[in-house]
Amino acid sequence: MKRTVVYLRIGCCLLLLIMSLALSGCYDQREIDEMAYPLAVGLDVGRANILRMTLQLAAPLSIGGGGGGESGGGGGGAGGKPVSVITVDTPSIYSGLNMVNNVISKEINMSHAKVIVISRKLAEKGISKYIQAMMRGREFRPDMFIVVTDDPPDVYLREVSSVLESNPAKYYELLLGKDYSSYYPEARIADFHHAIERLDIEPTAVLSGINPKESVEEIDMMGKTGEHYLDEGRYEAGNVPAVSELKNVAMGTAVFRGGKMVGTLNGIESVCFQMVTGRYNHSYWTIPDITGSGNVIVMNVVQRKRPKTTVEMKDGKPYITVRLDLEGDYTSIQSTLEHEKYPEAIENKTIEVIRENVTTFLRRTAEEFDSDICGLGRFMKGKFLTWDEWEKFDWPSHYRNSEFNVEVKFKIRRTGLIIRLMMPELSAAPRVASGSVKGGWLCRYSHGPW
Amino acid sequence: MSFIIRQLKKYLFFEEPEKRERFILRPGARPADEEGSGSFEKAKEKKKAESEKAPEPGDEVKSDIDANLTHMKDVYSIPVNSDIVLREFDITYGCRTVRAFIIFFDGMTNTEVINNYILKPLMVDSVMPLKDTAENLEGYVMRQLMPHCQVNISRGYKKAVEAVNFGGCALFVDGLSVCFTADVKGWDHRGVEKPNNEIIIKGPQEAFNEVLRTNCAQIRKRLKDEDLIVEDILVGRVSRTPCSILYIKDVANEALVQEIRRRLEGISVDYMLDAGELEQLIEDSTVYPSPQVISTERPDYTAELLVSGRVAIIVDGSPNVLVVPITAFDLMHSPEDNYIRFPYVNLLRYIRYIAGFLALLLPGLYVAITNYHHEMIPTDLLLAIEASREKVPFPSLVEILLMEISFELIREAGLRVPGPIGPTLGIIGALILGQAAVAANIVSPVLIIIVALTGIGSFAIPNYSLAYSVRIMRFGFIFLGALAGFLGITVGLFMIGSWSTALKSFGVPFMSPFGPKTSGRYKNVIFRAPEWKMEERPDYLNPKKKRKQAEYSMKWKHGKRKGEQD
Repeated sequence: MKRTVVYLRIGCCLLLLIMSLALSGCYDQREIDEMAYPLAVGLDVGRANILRMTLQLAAPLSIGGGGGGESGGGGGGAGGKPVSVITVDTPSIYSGLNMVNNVISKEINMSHAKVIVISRKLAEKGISKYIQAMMRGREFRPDMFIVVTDDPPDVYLREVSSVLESNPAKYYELLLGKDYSSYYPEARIADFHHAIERLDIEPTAVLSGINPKESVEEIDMMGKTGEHYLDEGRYEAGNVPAVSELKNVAMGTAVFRGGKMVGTLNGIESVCFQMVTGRYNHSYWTIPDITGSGNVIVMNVVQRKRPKTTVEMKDGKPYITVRLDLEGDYTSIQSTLEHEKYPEAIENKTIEVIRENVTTFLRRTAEEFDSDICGLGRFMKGKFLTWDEWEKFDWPSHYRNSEFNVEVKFKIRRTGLIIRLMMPELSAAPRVASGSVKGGWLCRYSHGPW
Repeated sequence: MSFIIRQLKKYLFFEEPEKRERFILRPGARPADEEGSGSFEKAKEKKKAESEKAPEPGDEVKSDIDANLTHMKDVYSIPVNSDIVLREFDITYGCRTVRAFIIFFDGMTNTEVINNYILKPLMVDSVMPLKDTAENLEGYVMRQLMPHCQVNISRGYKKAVEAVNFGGCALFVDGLSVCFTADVKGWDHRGVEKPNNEIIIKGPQEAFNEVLRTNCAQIRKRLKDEDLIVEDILVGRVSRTPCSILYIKDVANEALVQEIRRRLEGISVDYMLDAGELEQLIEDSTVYPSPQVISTERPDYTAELLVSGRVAIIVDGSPNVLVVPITAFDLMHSPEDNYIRFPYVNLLRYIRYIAGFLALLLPGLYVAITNYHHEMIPTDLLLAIEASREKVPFPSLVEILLMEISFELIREAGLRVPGPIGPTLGIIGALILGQAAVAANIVSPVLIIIVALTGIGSFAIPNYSLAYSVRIMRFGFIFLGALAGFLGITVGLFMIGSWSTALKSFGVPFMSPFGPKTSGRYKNVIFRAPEWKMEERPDYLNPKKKRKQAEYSMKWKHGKRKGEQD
């Protein structure tokens, strides 16, 4: 009798547990191969409806390398295009997903979407409602990149062809996430959403576009103005003088105020933007030679410390001081001058160039865009005791009157002085004769094409 | 009807649970309360009383040899029983001849010893003149005629029969109401060989065998300590299997020894043949998956555990020795941990924990992630899994169960398969699992990696019994993962965790020294401190001596060298 009670009790507990798990669990169980994973979402102004949504769906069989013995373990991309693009006109994002599910057999799962591409037209109309919708949905990753393009996103996403990677997701992550040139910012949707909601900062997005040039002649037709070189950072996404198989170019920044796009920054301005926000990694700056010969010095500039920013209110005007602490190395010296001997002169020239660029950039954000994309308002916010005071102060209305003072500290750390030439025959000849190890190594080389 | 309502009430309303105080190993060598106090002395007295106890009425050895003869023939069903030997002969005592007989089992005894040291003196040497004529017959036989080292006098049949059953030889002499039993065991047994299952690279390479006393000697020769007590208890109403409780008198907690004595004495079975059976009869929880007793075949490891204050139980006829009490963390230790340098041990321990984690959770996590948490997988891997699963006709749960079950099949078949066929089975298994199943699109290649890793992980767990329990629990986690993803896995871990913390192994909380926190958590539990830092015995064992090293165990590092100035 007693034993049966114990067994009954255990049985009941197990039953309850299994039931609660089974009833509350399995309902959202999905196998991976029952899902379709869009890698990119494009949003544009619709013609047949409010919104034109484009999904770039991953084709796993051509990316992942096919199932079973057929592919024979070969590399990806063996079977056709890695992606498939679907465009629908729809009233909203989620109703668009519903519509797409009518077209394709698998259920759409947005958890691996890497990038959201927004047309300039839509961006200028305002996108905050879409961003909020996406941030509310659990499936959208908050670290999606946000890109604005002049071209319609459906065209843009059809053009994306990753040559170096088999998987477009990796292409997006490498292109937009890892910053090699600093010519465009790292813009994630969570930050964007955050910036829309906040008073002291405005959102930005990566500016990208299709480079339509098919041949070098088209670059020739762009022409060149004047004798001097053109700074490489002066371009924006669509007009870069480059010809390649990869049509999509990311260059520059799309500037927003609230949820609406108000303008663009070119490459060099984007660099300044990142310097001021402290997210600058490194880039090459082309500095005119002090001799004035038309030659340039290429400097690899890195940020040594985060910038120190102060905001003072004088006569109702914000006076903003940005102190940049940079350092750099020589990468190339075109003139024959021994610049290693005159670092101060070059440093001063570099400081001049950088300060001029940063000041121009900051003035543009205040006067032209009236948008505090650098988040300089953060340094003002600390001066208020309560949130109500800060809200009443209304920083965005003050920002356009700001006066900027940019102080740049720049030091050349590694001069790149070449002590010995690396010509094996000349420099290592006696070593070869003496039969040292290093000589032997060079000796092998000297049998080569040299 | 009322029964059902009563039952329902029981499930719905809280009821004060029945208070059952189980054994708890408390600090202090001699707890003030009942059981443990002076238990060693008590045991001593008990043994003494037992040996001097007069036989029960009806069991006494008669002085009439014919009565004894009939009784023994009756007991051993002579002549139906063919391996029992009953040899009658005469002893010369002074100037008269006395009838006598010996009885023993053929094959279990050493006949040479019986011939030379029992029969020969009794039959041949007794014709020599008496050294001391005042000596009575009993003393004469005992002191002069049996030149054998282990002879006992017993007054009851029961003891004589017990001795004969365990390879002894009983001598009955006419006119004496006692019988002499000599220990002449001589059955064939395995020698001391290399351990088969607990293989280590550095350290002693001897294993226990099936002979009780050889096993005791293996431990005693390592410890060389007169305080090592070997206490015998017979378990099994019929089999009377000799078991020895081994402990170091001035280290092990007396209450613990008393509890083990109590449990062994409280076993009421007819036959108890192996340590594995005994383990199940004395452990605290029957259904808890992991073992609560260390069962080892290594005398060196047993000695090490005895030194720390634990108690070993040797069962005659079993090459495995049980050591209690243990904690969950002891199961992840290997005997080799004591013999290799401490950085290596820590690396190995780390790897073992990873292996245990993989063996337990990996398939469950795979099912959980692929069914519920797609966003966790890197996109490249996700697409690769999707592509590889594209042609697989089963859901991933079925797929993984299929592979796990076939792996268990291979493992079980590999154990049973006769030696020469072994490699063939390996090839077939590898072919089926590795190549054919993938080529036939029955499982995806990613899954093969999961199952292989799991298998390797479970072999890296040092305790064989623990590996079993991990194998069982793994299936539970697969189902939980399939039911509710990470939530299910978490529920499973939570349940195992609360069960483990509630469990005790011989009065020691199973999760100590973390379950209840005690000192020495970072000495030799998960990671291992250097040898010179192992100053104290585990606190949760509450040993009589806390320290096993001086504060400065490397004295040569302190103090001065010869000729060194102040």
